Amino acid sequence: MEKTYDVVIIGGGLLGCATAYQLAKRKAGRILLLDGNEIASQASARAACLLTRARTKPALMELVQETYDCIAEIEDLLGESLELQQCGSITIASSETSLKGLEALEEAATRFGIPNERITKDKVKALLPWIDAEAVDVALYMPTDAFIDSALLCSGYAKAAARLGVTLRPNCKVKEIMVEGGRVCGVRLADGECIEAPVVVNAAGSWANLLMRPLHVGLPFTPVRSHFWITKIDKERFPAGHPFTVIPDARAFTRSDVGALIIGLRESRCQSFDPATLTGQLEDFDFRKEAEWTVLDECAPLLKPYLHDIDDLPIAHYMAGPSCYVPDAMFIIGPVQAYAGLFTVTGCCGGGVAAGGGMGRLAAELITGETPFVNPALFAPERFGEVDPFSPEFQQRCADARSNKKGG
Amino acid sequence: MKRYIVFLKQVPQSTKVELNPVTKTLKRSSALSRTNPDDLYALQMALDLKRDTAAEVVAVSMGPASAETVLREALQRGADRAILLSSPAFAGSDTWCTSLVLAAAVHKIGAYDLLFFGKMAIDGDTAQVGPEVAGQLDIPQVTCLSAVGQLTEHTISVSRKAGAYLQRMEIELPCAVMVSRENGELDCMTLSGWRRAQRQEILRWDEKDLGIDASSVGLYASPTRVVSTAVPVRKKEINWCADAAAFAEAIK
Repeated sequence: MEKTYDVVIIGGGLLGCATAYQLAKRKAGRILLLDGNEIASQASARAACLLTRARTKPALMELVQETYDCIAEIEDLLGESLELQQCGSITIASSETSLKGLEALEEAATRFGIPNERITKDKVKALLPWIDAEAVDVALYMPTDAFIDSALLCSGYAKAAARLGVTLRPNCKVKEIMVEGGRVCGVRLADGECIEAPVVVNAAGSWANLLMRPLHVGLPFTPVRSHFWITKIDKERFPAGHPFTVIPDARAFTRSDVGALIIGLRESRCQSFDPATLTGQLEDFDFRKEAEWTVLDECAPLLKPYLHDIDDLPIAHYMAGPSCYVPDAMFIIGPVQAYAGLFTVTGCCGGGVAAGGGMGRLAAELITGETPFVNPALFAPERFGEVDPFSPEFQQRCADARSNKKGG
Repeated sequence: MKRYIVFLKQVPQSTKVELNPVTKTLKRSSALSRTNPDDLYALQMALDLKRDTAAEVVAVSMGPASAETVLREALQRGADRAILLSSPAFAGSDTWCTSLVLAAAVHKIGAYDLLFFGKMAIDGDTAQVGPEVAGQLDIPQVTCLSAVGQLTEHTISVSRKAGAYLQRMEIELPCAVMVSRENGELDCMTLSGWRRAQRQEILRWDEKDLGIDASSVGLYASPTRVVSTAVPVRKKEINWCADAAAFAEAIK
């Protein structure tokens, strides 16, 4: 096994794999990707999978478009489908505040050339058989929006990266990032093996700050619980392929899933977690299981005008996972100034599936010294100054970023 | 009205659980927990039978205070009432002592027609408690239950797997049945069920409520002795081959 690489990426989730793919595309030398578990097995397998194109921040639209471009490229490269489901999306407004948000989204989409149209209640009902359309004041339909199985997308990035020469080593836990004289020199694995590299990319998601802690670097994010509920299958009511919805007034999104409805809800006070408490695998982590019903209980009255029988809807599954939230709800991508050669791509803020391809591209461009395709200052790791991600106060700031989110 | 008593156990959710180094038993409060899967199918069978026959379904669990979550789930799924058997005196009970406590609880509940057990708990893997309770109460028992049929005032017809054969039997009530996940599908839970369950009271009984001598149950009264517990170590020998020639050499 080789002991020297040009780039070592820590983390086989969406952001690590997308970065590996983008670096390999740019022929950035010998690249190694490491993960303590299987590739695409942790937070990237617990995502809601929405690929919402329209964003009020133009840079984010560029990042999302890059993900769509990556999907097409990877399908071509591998000769296999990543099963993108172009179902369209409907953003729903039923209040003055949410109408303002919808108008901003409409304006951004039009400016960026994303097809969109306001649709009538009748059309809403035709597209979404389950909805009580009377509660809908204004609906914005974007027919080219899609969703994708996030684990399949992540595996797609990894397979494409491997096809282009990246070495993947799953089930290979990194114990520490090695530094010497103010720059990184590689990583040490849990079994003691050392791998040398002049560039190390920390894409370890929720675990990223645990690797930064011995270096006295705090990345400005913390894991915050995201979750969704999946109803029992009812193919007539929830036909496969119907548009996903974003309902800010209900702090909710929905999407179809093989005849069931996935419902994502955001509680009024989101739950952050101290990264020091994380377990090696998310299946062993306590996301506070009682939230399955306490959060549904809190949020159901908001969703009830659109889904009248939410109280009696049979719930088949509940899925909780960590989203890495940053106080300004923007990603963290770029060099870590304290150590030459150390980079990070993290802080998905619930948008890692949609923007991952673009986040990987920006990270790759910053590593190879290309001109970045979006302004990297927006995502600079040091933009908050010095932070302590292990302090409860900072963790609360991150949780508030999710609580105050304006979209679904 | 008939009465069905369903026994449910709180078990660790993961295989990564801590063991008490002194007693070698599971530290039940240390792991993420869930309701033992087979027990949920036992509850479902009782609830399905309740739909056809007027009956009261009583959910019973023995364990620490945290086992209340198992009973809340049973209430959410449709049980009429729930009883937690909890006491420091019960801690460390093996299957024999557990069956003594459960049988005492059955006596205290009063008249009953059917006892439902999950076939086996995923932590201990013994499949002993249900049959032992039936033995303590001296009632018929059906292991490896396949399906239940007609229920009359004094009997129930059941089928059970017996190797390659299916046995059909008519059993006198009261009796105990051991149910596994092969016996049907679980109904999904609802929010309104959860709200109802939060309002219901869970009774708590200890050894005094059950009229049990504390020295007859628990770790030291248990005839089972756990001498040692070890996690099997699986070690893989991995040699990385730099190229095809090295691989060909390695597999020669």
